[in-house]
Amino acid sequence: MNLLAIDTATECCSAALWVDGMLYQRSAVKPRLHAELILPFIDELLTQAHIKKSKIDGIIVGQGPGAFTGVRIGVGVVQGLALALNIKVVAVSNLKTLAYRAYNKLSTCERKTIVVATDARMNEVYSVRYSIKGSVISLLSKEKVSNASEVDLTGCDAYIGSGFHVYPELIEHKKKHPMIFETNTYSQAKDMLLMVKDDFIRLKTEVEKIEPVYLREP
Amino acid sequence: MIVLGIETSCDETGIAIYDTDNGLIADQLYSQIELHAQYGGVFPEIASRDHIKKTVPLIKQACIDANISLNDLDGIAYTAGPGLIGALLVGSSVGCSLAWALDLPSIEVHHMEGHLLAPLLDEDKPEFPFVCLLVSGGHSLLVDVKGLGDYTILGDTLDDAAGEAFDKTAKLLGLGYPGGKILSDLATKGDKNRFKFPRPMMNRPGLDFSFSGLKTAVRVTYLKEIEKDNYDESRDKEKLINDIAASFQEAIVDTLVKKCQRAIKQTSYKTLVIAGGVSANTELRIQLKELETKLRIKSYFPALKYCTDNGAMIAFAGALRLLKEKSQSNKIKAYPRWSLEDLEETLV
Repeated sequence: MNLLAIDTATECCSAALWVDGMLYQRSAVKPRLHAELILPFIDELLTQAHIKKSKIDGIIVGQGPGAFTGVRIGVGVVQGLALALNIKVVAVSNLKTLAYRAYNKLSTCERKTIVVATDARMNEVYSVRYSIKGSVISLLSKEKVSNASEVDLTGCDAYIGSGFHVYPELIEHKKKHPMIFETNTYSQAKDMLLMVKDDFIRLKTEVEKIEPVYLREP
Repeated sequence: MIVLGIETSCDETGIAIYDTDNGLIADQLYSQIELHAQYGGVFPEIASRDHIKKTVPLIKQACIDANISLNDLDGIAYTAGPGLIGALLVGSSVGCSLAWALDLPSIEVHHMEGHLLAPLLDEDKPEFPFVCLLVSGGHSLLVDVKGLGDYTILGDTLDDAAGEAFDKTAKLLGLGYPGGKILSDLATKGDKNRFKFPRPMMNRPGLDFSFSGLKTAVRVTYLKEIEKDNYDESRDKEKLINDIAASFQEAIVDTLVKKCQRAIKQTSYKTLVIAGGVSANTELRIQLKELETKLRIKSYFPALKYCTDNGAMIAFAGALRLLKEKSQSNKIKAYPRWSLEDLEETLV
């Protein structure tokens, strides 16, 4: 199954393609240029993998939370692609993608609690807690937007996200608890792809059913 | 040639399909007016959030209405600007990627060119060259239209657009939303000669407009009237509002008509086209019809449903452009500010 993943929800614009067990990926941190970059990225990946766009069997997209316009560019592009190619899609959380990445960095098979906090601007973070074991990722708290001081950091094994890079309360925590962390990072389409690919058939849905996740009121 | 048009530049999601052989074969429109009513104006983020929900279902419905599949299309046209950046990006993301995935040309359409060409959707249509008065909530332009893509702006507003002046004045009179339409409805019941509001920029040569001073004049007049000793709100308010509405509308219409007259004289053209949301205004239509007789010219208005934003005009403008040029782009574009005059180059 050939799968495409794209993510334009953060400052990083990324695309990844899975063809015959090979992963191709492209990303760039270029805020405000995602609309112009994303289709050329996909073009490049298709060329590298030597397949035509009509051979894409499904698409994965980062549905947020993130920059409102960025999230909509990703969802809009996937709407266009899925309609044209008549294929199904899976929308994934940008926060969950980071949790998955952090867990993989831990290189363990044990259950771990991961806290994700990304910078939501306006003195707030998007945050969530996950419990992960192997490929099973369970939500411990709902995704929320809040002040950085309201992020529940108790008993976490690892934390990830730009929030730990930006907000003093979270940076402080990082200093006190030198656990495995990765703060100066963005969600990536390749992680979305790796996280979803084996489950795509079970998770796939009609493109009209996917919606951006904003968390914050307009 | 069959073209899908996508319009999401403001608060209307418009999807239409135009066939150069059979005309308009689908025309879907979803208006967000109710969503924005509580804010008294278009709330950009709410507009964008709604566009992303409506675009795909409307595209599917349009294909059903036209009895075609996406594979029957020859091009995808989308409004690339001007407009609200977040709202524009919904249409351009969906439109451009749809075109890319179908290996079709994508056509970036200028929203105002869409309006300007809308009267050509009619059977009785104007021929080039003509003077076009483009009046909407965001624009007040007089344009010398020599041909498709060959536009020279003769006059522009220095501040508020005509439709904006209607909306803002309605708001200060407490008339609700969308105020422009309510105000012009009330104007039909009022005395347009009771108050003499200014006709800005009329004493100067040139074809520019300025409408922002009008709402101040309305406010001053309104306050002066309700502070009079013999003013009785329950008895006088309705008539006062109606008379102000009629006098205000007369000031705007009179200004627009006189500037059209000047533009016709300046260009020596025999055809006048009026487009944009304000072109639905009945009084404007009546007075321009009188001008038509007086100057022995021919005037054209779009059908009422094509006065406001719609997908039909975008599909149509896209089809006309596709006949002349074929471009295949994989870059999703949106231009919040974009002058009609910049279009010239694309067709040279």
